[in-house]
Amino acid sequence: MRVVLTTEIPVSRVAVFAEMAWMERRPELGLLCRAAREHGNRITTAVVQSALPGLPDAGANNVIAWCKMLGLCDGRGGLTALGEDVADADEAPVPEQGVYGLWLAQHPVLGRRVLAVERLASNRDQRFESIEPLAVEPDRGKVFRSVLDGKGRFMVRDLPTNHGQPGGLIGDTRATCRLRWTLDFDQARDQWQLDGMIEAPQGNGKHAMRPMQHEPESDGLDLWNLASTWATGALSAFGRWQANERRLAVAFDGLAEGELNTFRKTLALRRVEIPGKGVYENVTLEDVPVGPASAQDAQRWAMARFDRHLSAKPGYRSRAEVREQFAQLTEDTPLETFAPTLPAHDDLLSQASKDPERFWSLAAPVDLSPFPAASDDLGPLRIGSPAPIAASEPAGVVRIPYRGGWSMRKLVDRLLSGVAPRRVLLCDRYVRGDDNLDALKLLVTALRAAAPNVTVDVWTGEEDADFKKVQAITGASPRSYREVFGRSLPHDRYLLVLPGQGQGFGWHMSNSPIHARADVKGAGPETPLRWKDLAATRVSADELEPALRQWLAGGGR
Amino acid sequence: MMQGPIQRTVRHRVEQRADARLPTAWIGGAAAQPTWTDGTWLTRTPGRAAATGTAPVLVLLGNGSEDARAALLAHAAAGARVYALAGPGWSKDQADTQVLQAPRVLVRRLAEVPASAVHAGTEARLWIGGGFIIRLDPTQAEALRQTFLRLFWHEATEEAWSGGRQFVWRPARERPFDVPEVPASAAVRWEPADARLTGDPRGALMHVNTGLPPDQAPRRLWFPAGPDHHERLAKLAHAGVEVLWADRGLPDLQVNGGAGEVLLPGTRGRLRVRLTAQQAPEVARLLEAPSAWRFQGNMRLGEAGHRAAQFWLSGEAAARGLEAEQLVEVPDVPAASLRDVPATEPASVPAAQPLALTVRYQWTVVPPRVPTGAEEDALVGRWRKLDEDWTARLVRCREVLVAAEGDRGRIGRAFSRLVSAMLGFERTHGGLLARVNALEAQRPSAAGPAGAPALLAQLAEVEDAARKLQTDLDEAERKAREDEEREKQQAAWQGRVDAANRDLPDRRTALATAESRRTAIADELRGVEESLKSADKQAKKDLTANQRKLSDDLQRANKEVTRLRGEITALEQQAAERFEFRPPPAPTGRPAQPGGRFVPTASSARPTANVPDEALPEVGSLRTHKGQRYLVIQTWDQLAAGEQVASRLAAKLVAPENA
Repeated sequence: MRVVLTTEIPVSRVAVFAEMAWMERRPELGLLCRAAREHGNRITTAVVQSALPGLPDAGANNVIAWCKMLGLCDGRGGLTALGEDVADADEAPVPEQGVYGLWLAQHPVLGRRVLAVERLASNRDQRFESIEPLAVEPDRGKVFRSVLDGKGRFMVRDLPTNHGQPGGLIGDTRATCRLRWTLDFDQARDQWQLDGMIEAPQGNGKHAMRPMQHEPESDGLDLWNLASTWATGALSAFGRWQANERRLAVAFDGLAEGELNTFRKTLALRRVEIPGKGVYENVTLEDVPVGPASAQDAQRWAMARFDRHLSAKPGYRSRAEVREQFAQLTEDTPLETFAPTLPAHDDLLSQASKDPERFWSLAAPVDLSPFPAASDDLGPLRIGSPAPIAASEPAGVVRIPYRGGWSMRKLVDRLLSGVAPRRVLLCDRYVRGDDNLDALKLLVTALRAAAPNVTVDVWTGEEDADFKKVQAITGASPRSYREVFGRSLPHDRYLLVLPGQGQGFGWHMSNSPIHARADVKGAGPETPLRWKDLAATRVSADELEPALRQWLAGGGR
Repeated sequence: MMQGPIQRTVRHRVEQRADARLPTAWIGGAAAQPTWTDGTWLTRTPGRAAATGTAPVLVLLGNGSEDARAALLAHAAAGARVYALAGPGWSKDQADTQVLQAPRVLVRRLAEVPASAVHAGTEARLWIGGGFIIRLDPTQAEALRQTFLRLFWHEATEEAWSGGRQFVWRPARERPFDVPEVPASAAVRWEPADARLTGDPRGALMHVNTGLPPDQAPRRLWFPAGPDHHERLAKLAHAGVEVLWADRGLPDLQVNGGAGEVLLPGTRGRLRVRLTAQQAPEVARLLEAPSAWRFQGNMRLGEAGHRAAQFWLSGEAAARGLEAEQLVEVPDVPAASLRDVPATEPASVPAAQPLALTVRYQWTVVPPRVPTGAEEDALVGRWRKLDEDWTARLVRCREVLVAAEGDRGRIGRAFSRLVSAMLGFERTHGGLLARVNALEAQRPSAAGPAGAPALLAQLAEVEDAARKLQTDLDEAERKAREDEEREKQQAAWQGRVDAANRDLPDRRTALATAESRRTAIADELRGVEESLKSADKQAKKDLTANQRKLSDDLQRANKEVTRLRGEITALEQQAAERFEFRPPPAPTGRPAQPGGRFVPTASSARPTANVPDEALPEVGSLRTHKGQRYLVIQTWDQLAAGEQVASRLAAKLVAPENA
């Protein structure tokens, strides 16, 4: 979430008698202040003497008094903000008195600021009657940076006056100034900057207009707290602000295509107020996190996303892929908490009856599946809720239900079918990414828990894969799909088991075991994992593709 | 005895072959139409599509898919989702477009569909060819389904669905999963195109469409009648195997007891179906049917039963019946000589075609012919040149004599003093003409090597006489012409002397007159010049004019005197000239030959030097080619004479080039 606030700030120009100080390079004072910072943020005699060896106590006290006069420390030697500045920049204020031309601006964000200063020659024109009270009285003792060149720094130490009412000669100015304040909620950072035009002295009392140069500054605003204050105000017209989730709960109707996918929405606010920092009109609040306002909205939202995904990437989808895709589109999104439901297969077909391409893309993979889908898989899928566990699976089928909570060891035990493997091959196009590699570690650990000396081979696609990481996990160098399969790449995942004795066999899987996720740190083989659907069907060697068959026969390793 | 022109001669010979034997052959008679009664598993009637509700129906639309398509439409009409596999050209047929109207049909195309089949629920039927359908048991149906899935998801290239105005074909989308390979032991399996029947053929009933006959002996083998593998088939037949064939459109089949298999044809793959114990006997009934063809060995051609049969022999493109008489045209046979032509036969003749009952060999005897490019023999050229020279010399002699006759007349008319001499020349000329006429009636080539030299000698004598006659005429004319010129020159000289003597006195008188006149003018001039010296101005002018006139007159008088003196000198020289004869120049254009005008020189060579020592052939024409002489005769009646002449001239007796 992000907003850019802007406002125009009037600039006034005055000529005043003032005590000013210009920040000039004084490395010895910078050294002194840094020494103080290392000794309890206090300038003491010892600190002065450590920085200036050989200085007697009296001399050191003189230095301290001078620092106090400059404002680098307080009466007890404590380092002031100005002293910190000197320690950082090696620049210290050098006071002077005289008549100065000041360009002044005032706003809650930037305070009473001197934008630029010009030394003026004093004269005796006796225009006392022209002296007027200052409309903007600049902050004293605060270091300002000139917007003329962005380099010179100065401060107003005092505005001497006889009767306590600072005054000056009000001058004309054509200077313009605009505040541009960016609030980046996601980054928890605000930043403001001035821009505009201002007179620059050209000598002989002449001036020319120049663009302002101002380095961005931060106000340190608590942005999420600010959002909460807007919840009852500007945001209430759009939805319900959920402070804990830091998002706006909105109705499904009216959401644009992009908003459905990004869960972000841009709002046009007529007026917002930042307490103590001003009121801003016609504000555009970008990328506001949004989520469904109700379970019904969540369901419609989920189906809309699913529908758009199918349209964007047409193609045949097995029921397992449909379920996985629906889960992927809803899990870890604001929709998940509302547990949206993927309709049953037949219902999806009914919905697609007017769209033949969609209809066949869903119907054919189920009708023409080599392994009949379980009736549970064809039923509705409720996100976040464990799928029902089948009473009994057919022989040669291992099925992990959605959110079944199996550990990796449980899966491995079922896949090994009681044999002690000598070698295992995981054939999976996507062995990449930290999460998958973590799951691969669990798989390897579980396999070695069952058979300590088992060799684990991995065949995977080479795009974005880090073969060294895979080798570090398995101990064996993986082989690329292109090398093994050429152009006839398999679609599904396979786990091949070569026992110490007897015939090898394979598992033809609808999903990968390394797509399981541990919700806890330090997970082990026995840790229950978060699963998507996974159905593994046992196949014999002669049902496998030639390369896999060859691996079982001893080749291609 | 042969007559007429010499040319190529056609001859023939006939052989009887009724006892000839064929080593191997397919014998085909009228095919008996086998009867068929549908069984439980093997039928020829498609039957009605079983109602399957909404269960998906899988259809393979292979060759002869009309029944399968009808089943597809029935299932689709009943509300089922139908998945079909079709070949590349599918949907172009009008009947295929009926599928377009069906509610839910997804069709994929692949390079070749191995069969026509319908799978609905647990029921499945497979069209095996020849109009026969096998009903599959559940195990076979499941294997067929797996095979269908493999083809559908892994092999298909395009897809379209019903419900629109036309099938819109698009590339087949990526499969959503892998379909396992169908195991080798599956009851139905799509196998490579080179797959063959795998069962033990011994004692089996086999039907094989392609490849080799089995090594082992089945009880009955159906193998395509044709030109191939006769040797292997003969061994099987010898081992007691019934080798038969009838083209019933059946696939490869094998039944052995309670087992068997069907192997459907295909160029990209073949569908194998392992038969159950129930299906095998019904398929066996197919193979027990009567055949159209039977393979046999060592058959006698002349058997009565073979008259109407068709035989397919090894290596032949098609079957044929017996041939009553075969005409075998043997290549042309060259005869060694013209006399051998009537008796010439080919050294060998090709074998008759195996199915010929009689064979007639026919060939053409080609007589020996003069080679192409043969040229006229040099002997002929030499005789011809001799004859041509003979003729040319006689012509020139005649021309000389004719010219001499003209000269004689002209000289006689010009010089009367030569009249008597001309009479002698006339007699000589007449004699020479008579001899020329006699020689023109003869030829040296006709006289031959013996008579030609004498003729040539006579010709040389005539040429000499003609030359002498011409020389004499010329000399007589020259002398007469010189005498005439002398007389002419003398008369001219005398005329010139006489004229000079006659003119001299006049010229001398004229000279004296001119000299006196010149003196008078000179004197007058001197007087004027003297007067001029003392004359006044007016007189001086007149005297000066007179002086000039007199000077001009004196100059003219001097010229006249000089001219007259020159003329007198010339006349005096002419009168004193002496006579001198100047011979006339020789006539131009006359040949400088000593023999006189137009008279041929006598040949310096001996008259017999160029006479060939062989006479020309009496018959035929003599030609030569590469050093060999050929005597070419045109007709058979020249044969005897030609043989003698050819012998004399060491030539080969031949027919003309185009014979």
